[in-house]
Formats: sequence, structure tokens, C-alpha cells
Amino acid sequence: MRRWFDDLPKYADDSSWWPKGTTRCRPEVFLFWLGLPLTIMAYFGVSAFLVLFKGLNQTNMNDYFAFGVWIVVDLAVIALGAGAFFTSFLNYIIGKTELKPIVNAAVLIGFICYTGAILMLGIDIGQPIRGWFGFWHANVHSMLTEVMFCITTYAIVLCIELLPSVLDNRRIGKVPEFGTFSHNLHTIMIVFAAAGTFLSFFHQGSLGGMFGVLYARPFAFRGHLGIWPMTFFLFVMSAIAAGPSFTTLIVMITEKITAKRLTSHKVKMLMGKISGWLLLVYMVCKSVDTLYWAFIYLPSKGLSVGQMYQMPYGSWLVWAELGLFGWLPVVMLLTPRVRESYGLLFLAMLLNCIGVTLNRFIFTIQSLALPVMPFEKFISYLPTWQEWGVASLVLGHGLLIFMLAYRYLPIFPQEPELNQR
Amino acid sequence: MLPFVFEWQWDIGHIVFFGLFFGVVSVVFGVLGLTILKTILDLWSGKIHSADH
Repeated sequence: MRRWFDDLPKYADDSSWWPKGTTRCRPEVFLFWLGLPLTIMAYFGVSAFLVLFKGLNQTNMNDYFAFGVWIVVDLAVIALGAGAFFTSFLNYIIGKTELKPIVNAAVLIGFICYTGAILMLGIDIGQPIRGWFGFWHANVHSMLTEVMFCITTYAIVLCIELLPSVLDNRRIGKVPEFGTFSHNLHTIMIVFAAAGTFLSFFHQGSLGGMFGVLYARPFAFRGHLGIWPMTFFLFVMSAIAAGPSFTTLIVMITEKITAKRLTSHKVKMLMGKISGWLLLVYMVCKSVDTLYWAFIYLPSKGLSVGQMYQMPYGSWLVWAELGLFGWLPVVMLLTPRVRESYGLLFLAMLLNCIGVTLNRFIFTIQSLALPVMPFEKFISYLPTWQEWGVASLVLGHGLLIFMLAYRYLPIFPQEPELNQR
Repeated sequence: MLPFVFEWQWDIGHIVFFGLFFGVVSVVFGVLGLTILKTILDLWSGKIHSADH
């Protein structure tokens, strides 16, 4: 079937850069669609300029809400990007080689999530040129110091893990120096996977630990296991449960947009099964933790669970987080017939990813909304358009990198075989 | 932060935290450096890997 753009003149032919055995849309169509991420990034540019130039008065953050949508998005994308380290861990260290067809995509998505979060945090800290102060004047007792060190170092590890995919480009790989370097990187990738696992484990945990040690915030404070609060372990567990789902979800969305099969359904089902079992472990721990907090910890401090949930952050959030976006995806992902269905697997993974995002929202916003002094009121928070603009960077930057990577890099090794006509 | 910075203290917190951090950073950059070195030696001895080979 002829399409409207088939009659347009060809400006440039970049087909020699496409991955071997694949086809992509024409350059002018690709350039047209690049307008979408570039528009989003322009929106980010305007918002970031206003925030940096005029200050935090451009946001709805205040003395109550020191954390806002930027931290929610940051925590959510870091959790969703955990597919990179966990899939690499399973593939390179545990030896689950069935995941090889999706590991490049997982690393790419992790790279997008982490670099996007770091860029956004550059605006959040107010003076990005002083970002290095955290390294030089480190407070070793702060969870955030550990988070900053591990996230930035892991972003470097992700760059190294992504490098072979860039060097394996059809044209770049023909250069003997690049081809040989890529080959040698492949052989030693297990070391980077191990370093990434170590770094990820600690920063995912410390992001949760940051909330669990807030003694003055009864909504967030939790009991400790050793030196770590329970939220440390809950954040690690929820991230490794949602990460593989998010990776697979992005692959499925790309398949629908490009009308191509990129990985076999067997790989997606395996990712769903891994996500399901990890989510089950997380949900058991999370449910026990919530019950202990609600019926033992809070009463011991003279508080009740009813005081913790007031509109608009009412008890519906508990049912949504633990029920609709918690136990329901567990049941779905652990049911073989659901995993066999493309649509239901997509839905289950979507619910799982919404669940972890909602969890990060609740810990960030609801913890701060609760009054801790007698003269304070329960207040709510809505971001300004400038805050949404800065947060949208993750989307624009992610779309741009993913579109370029899909077009030019061998991210999906099964694609040529699955799309043979 | 390095031990010669005035804020540095020789306590367990600094030693464990920075010991682990610099350990991981050393492994990552050390292995990357060795891979670059191996690539140079491979190219020198004619062990070339590329899309054409």
C-alpha cells in the first residue's frame, strides 16, 4: 500500500546505518517525528530557565513541601529503570541467557531513566554548577549522599554498558578499533554488571531509607533491620519487581508503534514471570509492614491510622496501591494464561509500574502533607506548569534517545529473525 | 572527598563509605582501562574484530 510520503523526494539515505536485516521509516518521516521530543524539551528549556533565573518561587514547593513532583518523578524513574541492573544481573551473573534478547533494551531504558533523573535533579538543586559539592563535602551519615554517589556512578556504568551497542552500529562497527573495543567490552561485561548491581542495590535502598529514618514524620518512619529501616528493603524489592515490567512495557509499546516484533513473546512472558514472583515477595513484605505500622507502631505513639489519611490523600490510596496496583498485578503476572495473552500481560505490567509510581508519590507527598505540629494543617500540593515542564524532561529526553537508538543501534537482536517475510 | 580535604575524619563512617565508593570506582575505571589496553594490544598483534571480519 502506498503511503502519502512515498511520493516525496528522498533527501538522504541513512539505511546503511540501520541495524543489519531491519527496515526503518524514511529519514524525513523520522525527522518529522523527532519534533515531538524536541517540543517537549523546548517546554523543559523554558521551565528550567524560569526556575534557574527567577528561583523556586516558580514552583508550588514551600516550607511544607520541600519535595514535589521532581522528586516523585525522580524516584519513580529510578525504580522503573531498575530493569537495567536486574536484567543484567540475571543475564550476566546468574546466567539466565534467555534474557539476552532484551538486555540491550533494558540497559538503554535504564540509561534514559538515570540520565533523565540526573538532569532533572540538576535543576532541582537550584545551582547545578555547585552539584559537585556533594562529592567534595560529603556528609557520610546522609542517605542522600549515598544516593547521589551511587546514582552518578551507576550512570557511568550504564554508559559503559551501552557503549557496545553504539559501537556495534553497522557503520561504526566496521572501524577495526571500535569493533575490537566493542568485542573486548562484551567479554568483560560481567564486571560492569556486578558493579552496577552493587551500586543499584544501595541507591534504590537508600532512596527508601531516606523516608524510613524520618523520626518526625510518623507516616514515613519505620522500624529498622540492622542499621537500615524497612523502607530500604521495600524500595529495593519494589524496584526490582517493577523494572523488568517497565522494560517489557516499553518494548511492547515500541512494537505497537513500529508494527514490528522486536522480541519473542517467550522473552516477554519470562520477564512477566520474574516480575510477578518479585512483586509477590514485595507485596507480602509491604502488606506485613503496613499492618504492623497501622496496628502496632502508630497506636504505640498515640496515633491512629485514620489520622494518616485525609482528603485528597484519603484511604483510597491504600486500596489503590496495595490492591489495584499491588495484589492484582501479582495474581495476573503469576497466572500463565494471562502471560500468554499479549494484552493482559501488557495490562498487568502497566498496573505494576503504576503501583511503584504511586508508592513513590505517597511516600514523597503524603509524608509531607501530614501535620507534625499542633498548629499545622493537613495540606495538599499541586505542581505549577514550570514544575511539570522540568519533570517532562525525562519524557522528551527519553523519547529522543530511544528513537535514535531504535533507528541506528542493534538494540533488538531478534528483530531481523522475527520480521522475516 | 579525599583524605587530604580538611573535612575528612578518620572514623568508621568515612572509611567504610569512601572505601566502598573508591573501591567500586577503581574496579569500574580499572577494568575499562584494561579493556582499552587489551584493545590496543589486540590491534597491534592483528587480532581485529569488526563487522567486516
